[in-house]
Amino acid sequence: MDTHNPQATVEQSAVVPLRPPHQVMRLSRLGSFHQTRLSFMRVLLRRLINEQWRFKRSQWQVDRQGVGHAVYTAIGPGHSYSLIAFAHDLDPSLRSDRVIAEAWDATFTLFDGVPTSADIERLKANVPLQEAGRISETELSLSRANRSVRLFNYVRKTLAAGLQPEQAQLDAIGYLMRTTAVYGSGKFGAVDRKFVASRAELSAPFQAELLAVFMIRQFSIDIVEHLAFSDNPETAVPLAPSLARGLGIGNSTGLGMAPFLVNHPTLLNNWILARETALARVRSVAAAEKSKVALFRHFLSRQMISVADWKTEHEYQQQKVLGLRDDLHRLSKKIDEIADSSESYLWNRVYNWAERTLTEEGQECVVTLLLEIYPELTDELADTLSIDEDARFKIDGTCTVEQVLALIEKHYAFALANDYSADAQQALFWYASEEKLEPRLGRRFDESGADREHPLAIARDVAALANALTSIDATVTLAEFLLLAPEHRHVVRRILQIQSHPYAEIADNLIADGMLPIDLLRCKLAFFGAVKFDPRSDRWLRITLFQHAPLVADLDEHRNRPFAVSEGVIPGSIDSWVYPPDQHAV
Amino acid sequence: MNTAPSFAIGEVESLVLKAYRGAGFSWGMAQEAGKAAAWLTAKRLPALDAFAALLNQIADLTHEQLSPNIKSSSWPERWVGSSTLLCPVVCGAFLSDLGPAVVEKESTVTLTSVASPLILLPFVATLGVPLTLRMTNAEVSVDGDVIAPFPVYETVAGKLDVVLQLAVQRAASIGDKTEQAGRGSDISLMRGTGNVASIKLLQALAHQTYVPATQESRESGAGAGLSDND
Repeated sequence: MDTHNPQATVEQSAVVPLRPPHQVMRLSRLGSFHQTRLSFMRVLLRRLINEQWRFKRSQWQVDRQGVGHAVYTAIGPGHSYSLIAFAHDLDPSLRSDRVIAEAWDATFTLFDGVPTSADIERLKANVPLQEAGRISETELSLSRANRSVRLFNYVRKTLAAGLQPEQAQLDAIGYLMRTTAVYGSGKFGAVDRKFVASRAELSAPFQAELLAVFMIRQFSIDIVEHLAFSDNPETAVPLAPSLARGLGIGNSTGLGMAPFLVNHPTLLNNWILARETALARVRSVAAAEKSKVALFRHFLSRQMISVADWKTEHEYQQQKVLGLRDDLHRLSKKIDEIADSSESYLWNRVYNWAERTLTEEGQECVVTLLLEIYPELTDELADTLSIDEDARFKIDGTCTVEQVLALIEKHYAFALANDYSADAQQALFWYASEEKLEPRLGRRFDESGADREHPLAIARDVAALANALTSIDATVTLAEFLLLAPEHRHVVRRILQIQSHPYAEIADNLIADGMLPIDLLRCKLAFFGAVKFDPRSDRWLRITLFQHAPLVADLDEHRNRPFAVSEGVIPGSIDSWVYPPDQHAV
Repeated sequence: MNTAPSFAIGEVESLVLKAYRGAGFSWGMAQEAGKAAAWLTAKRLPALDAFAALLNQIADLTHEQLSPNIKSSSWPERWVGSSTLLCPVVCGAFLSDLGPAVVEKESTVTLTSVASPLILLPFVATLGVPLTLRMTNAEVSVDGDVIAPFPVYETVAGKLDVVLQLAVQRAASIGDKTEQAGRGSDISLMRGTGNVASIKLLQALAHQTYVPATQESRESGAGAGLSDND
C-alpha cells in the first residue's frame, strides 16, 4: 500500500522547514543517528501494548542439555504469529558471530499462525541449517543466535546456586544471546512482504523480524533458567523480572546490511522524511508548555545514564561517545538557562543552538529527545515509513537530456564534486562473495573482482552519466539515450526518483578511500531502534535491541493494569522503556 | 532432487536479475529483467523457464545486437535488430520508456523475431493503455495488471514476430480468471517455480556475478579473525 507524502499537510502550519537533504544525508550525520519514537522496534512495541497482544509459550520440549524446541505464540487482534526456536548444543569451537558461520546455539523461524506438528517436523529439518535450508510461504523470518558465553554461564551458575546475578555484571554485556542474522521477506523461501504488508501489524518496516527478536529475548531468558534448573533442581531460582528487563538481545551486523540503504532509495527517503517531518513539527511549536520542558529534562537525564553506560573499544566510536557525553552536559545547562524565558519557539532555539555548538552525535541526540516529548506530533508518522517501491520503478523515457542534467545539478552536487580519476575517490568496490554470497568491500587497486562490482558507486556513476549527457543534443529523449547507453540505466532510475523523494540518496562517495561502512550500518540500526552501537572494526558492529523493554509477562500484566508496565512510565509516553530507568524520575 | 523448490517472488526477481547481469548485460537492464520476472510470477506465468530460454537464445549476443535499429527506414512500425533476434527485455524496456505514444501513432507496431516473447507482457503492462499482442498461435490482451486470455506458454515461447495494437476494449471487461490469480488472497498461488534445468542455467549465470574469495578478502571481511566465545 502506498503512503501519502506527509509534507503537504504538515508544512501549512509549520514555520520551520525540513532540513535540506545535503545536510541530513551525509554519511557522518547518518552515522550519528540515534533511535527515536519512529524506530521500528518502538512502533512494534507500541502496537503490542495498545492492541493488548497476548503471548503464550505453548511448547517447551528441551532436554537437560538444552537441546530441543520451543514454540511461543503472539496473539493479536487479527493474526497470531509463532516463534519456533530450536535449541542446540554447540561446540564452542564453532561459535562465530560471523554471518558465514554454519552452526549456532539456537535457530529460529517466525511462523504465520500456529504450527502443526507436521510444520515443526518440516522446519526442524530446515531451520537449523539456516541458509542451507528452505522455509516456505507460511514463514516470515529465519534467524539464529549465539550465547554471550561469559554472561550466559555466569547467570546460569548463579541461578542454579539459588542466587540472583549482580546488576553490574548484567549491565556490562546487556544480553544473554546475540543474533547474527535475521532474514525476512522472501529470503530462503519465506513469504514475500507484499503478501502480508497489508496487515496493520506488519505494515511498518521489519515488524515481523523484530517481533521474532522480541520473542527470542524471552527464549534467551527461559533457556538460561531451564539450564540452571537442570544443573541443580533443588536450589535453582528464576531470574528476577527487574533484572530480566535489563537484558535485551545483542546483534552483530556486518557489511551484509550496508547496501540495503543504497538499494532501496525511495524507502530510505520515507524513513528520513518521517523523522525530518517530526523534527520540523516540534521546532515549529511556538509555545513550549512547562510540562514538556520537564519531560525533556527527564528524558535527557535518562539518556545521560544510557550514554554513560555506552561501552566501545573502537576509537572512532569512543571519540564520538566522549563528545556526546560532553554535549549532553552542555545541553542540560543550556536548558536550565533558557527554559524559563518567555521567548517563543524554545525547541527551535534549542535545536539551532545544538547545530551551532554540538557534535553531530549530540545534534542527532537532540533530535531524538525532541521527538520523544512530542508523541502527538511524531507517532502518526509511523504510518508513512513504508512504500510501494515497485510503483516508482518505471523510467519516464520521454524526459529529455536537458531535464536529466537539470536534476543532476539540483540534487547531486555531492557526486559532481569529486575527481574520479584520482585513485582515492575510487579506492573501494562493492561486490558479492562467491563463498557466502554476502556483500563485501574490496580494494579496487589491490584486489581482483572489480569487473564484478555492484552498482552502489552512485556518486561516481552519476558523474559519468552527467559527462555522457553533456556531449549529446539536449533534446534527445531518455528512451533513445538509454537504448544506446544501457550502462547508465540504473542511475537514471534513481535520478528520476529523487524528484519526489528528496532524501533518497546518501550524499557521499561510497567508494572513496576512508569511507566508513559502520556509518551506513548505524543509520539503519538506529531506525530499527538499536542502542549502544559498538563497532568492532570499521566494517561491523554489535548493538543491543529491546534492553529494558517490557517482558512478555509485563504485557500480560499491563492488559489487566494499564500503565503498570515498568517504573517511570510517563503518561502519553507509554513506551519510554528504551531509556534506562531513572531512580530520580520526575 | 528433481522437483524444483517453490521460490518466493523476491527470490525469482533476484535470481533473474543476477542471471541477466551474469550474462553480460548492464545492471539497469538486469533490474528490468528481475522486475519483469517478478511480475510474470505474480501472474502464475513461468518466468524462470522463459528467462532461462531467453538467456539460452541470446548467449553471445550484445545489448546492441539485440536492440531494434531506430535508424532503419521501417522504424517505428517495424522493429528489426541487427542480429537475427530481438531481446524482449531490451525491446520491452524501450517500449516502456517510449510510453504509449509509439503505439497510439501507428495502427500496428511489429517487433520481428522476438526471443521468448512472453517476457514482453510486463513491459506492455506499464504503458497505461490496453494493448493486444498477436503472435502466430496466440493473441493476448494486456491492460495494466490484467491479462486475457491467460496465454499457453508454448504459444508465447521460442522466436516470434509480435504485432502490437491498441485493444478495442479494456481487458478487464473480458472478465478473465488470471485477475483473481494475480490478486487473490491465497499466497500459495504466487510462488515461482520452473524446470530444474532452467533453474540450473539461471544459477550458473547468476554465479558469474560473484567474486571468488581469496585469503586476503577472507581476512578483511567483517568480523574476521575474532573469537566469539565472549
